[in-house]
Amino acid sequence: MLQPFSYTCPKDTEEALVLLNNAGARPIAGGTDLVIQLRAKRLPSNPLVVDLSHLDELHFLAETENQLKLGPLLTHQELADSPQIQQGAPLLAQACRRVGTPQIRERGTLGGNIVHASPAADTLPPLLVHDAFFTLQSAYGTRSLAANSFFRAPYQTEISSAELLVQVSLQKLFGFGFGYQRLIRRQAVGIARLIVAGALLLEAGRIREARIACGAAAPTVFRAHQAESWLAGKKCGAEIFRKAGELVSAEMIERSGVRWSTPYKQPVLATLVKRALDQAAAIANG
Amino acid sequence: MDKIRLHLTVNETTVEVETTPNRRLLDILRDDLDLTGTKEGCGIGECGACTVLMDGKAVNACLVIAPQAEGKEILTVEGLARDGKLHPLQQAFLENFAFQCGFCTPGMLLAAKALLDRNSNPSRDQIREGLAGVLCRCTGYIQIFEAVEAAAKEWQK
Repeated sequence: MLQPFSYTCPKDTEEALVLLNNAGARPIAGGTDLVIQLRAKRLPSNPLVVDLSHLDELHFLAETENQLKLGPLLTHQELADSPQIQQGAPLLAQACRRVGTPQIRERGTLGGNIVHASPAADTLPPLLVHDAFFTLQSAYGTRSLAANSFFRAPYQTEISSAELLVQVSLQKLFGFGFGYQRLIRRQAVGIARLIVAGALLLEAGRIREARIACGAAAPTVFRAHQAESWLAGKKCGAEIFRKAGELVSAEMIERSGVRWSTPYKQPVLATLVKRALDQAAAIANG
Repeated sequence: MDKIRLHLTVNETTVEVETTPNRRLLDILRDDLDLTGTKEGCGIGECGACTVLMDGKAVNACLVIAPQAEGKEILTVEGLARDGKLHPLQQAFLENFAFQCGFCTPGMLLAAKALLDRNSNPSRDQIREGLAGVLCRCTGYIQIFEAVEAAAKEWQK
């Protein structure tokens, strides 16, 4: 039995936003995180559960010349299967293919994965690589926030309880090669120990631009800007990628401090970065 | 807590259920409709024993709140056999010794059906991936994979 709650099923986003102004209101989409909290009776007494799952206006995939615009209700399975995502944001397609289990991927949504803000959330490193920004709407207006500044701490974001994430916009990356590495104890169900999403743009064997995002490595997902700028202009090669991995690990330690897991994570993150960059370079060259 | 009235189709039969919202599809199936073939294992979406098809997709019935099942078509293990004849997957599980204690079997069958409905000729890796959301604590996975391969052959006929 779940903790007692009231349930409401708004007819559109506008009505949902009015309902979210109630104290204790909680939106539900796929329910893969919220139902676990309801089962553990972890929410304040008698919450109002606002069901978004049937709102078609939050369930879309549109493309402009330079952007992919994603509705928050797209499920992980839909994103993994979408030819537009496979082509335009292959890191995101790969990440979504690895979320949880087939059953979780059918229910869990992009919006839920973002707003739940687990440090190990699979979709976040690819979103950061694509300089994603999030459109947040409340009954009082709309604002946009860069994904890079959205996550405050584990499970904490800049979104207020009266706001909904209504659109995720990704910058398309033309000519880049991509690499994705995830370390996990068990391929299904498990929670990622480390995630690296990388992208490289090459010009005559030199790196014109590098993008590296890490998940599960620090309290929040982050872009390794120091390593990225160090890589710019350098010639592709094993030694350069190895050194970039070390720089990313140093950035991780700057962010998370030295913890019990650091002696393990430091060399392993460096290795994953090197592998992701190797992959990205092979694709960019190919 | 207010009661709500749910209308859903379970194994091709329309049913109406009165319930409080704080119950799961799993509770509706097991306690209200006496369809106890769907099992509760972990209750948090990790073991897959409660897997059913909802509008043709494999879902964990423990993670679907009852009101979200409104208007949906549900298929449980009880709906697989037709006219006293086992479903090809059930027959293949029998013939390939694909269960020991049987607790994961309903979930395995429905996860396998969702997989074969999408891809009637899956590779061994695709089968492993398709069934990754159901745990068998007897660890009889190989026989289960073989059963799904045997059923896939039937599927293609």
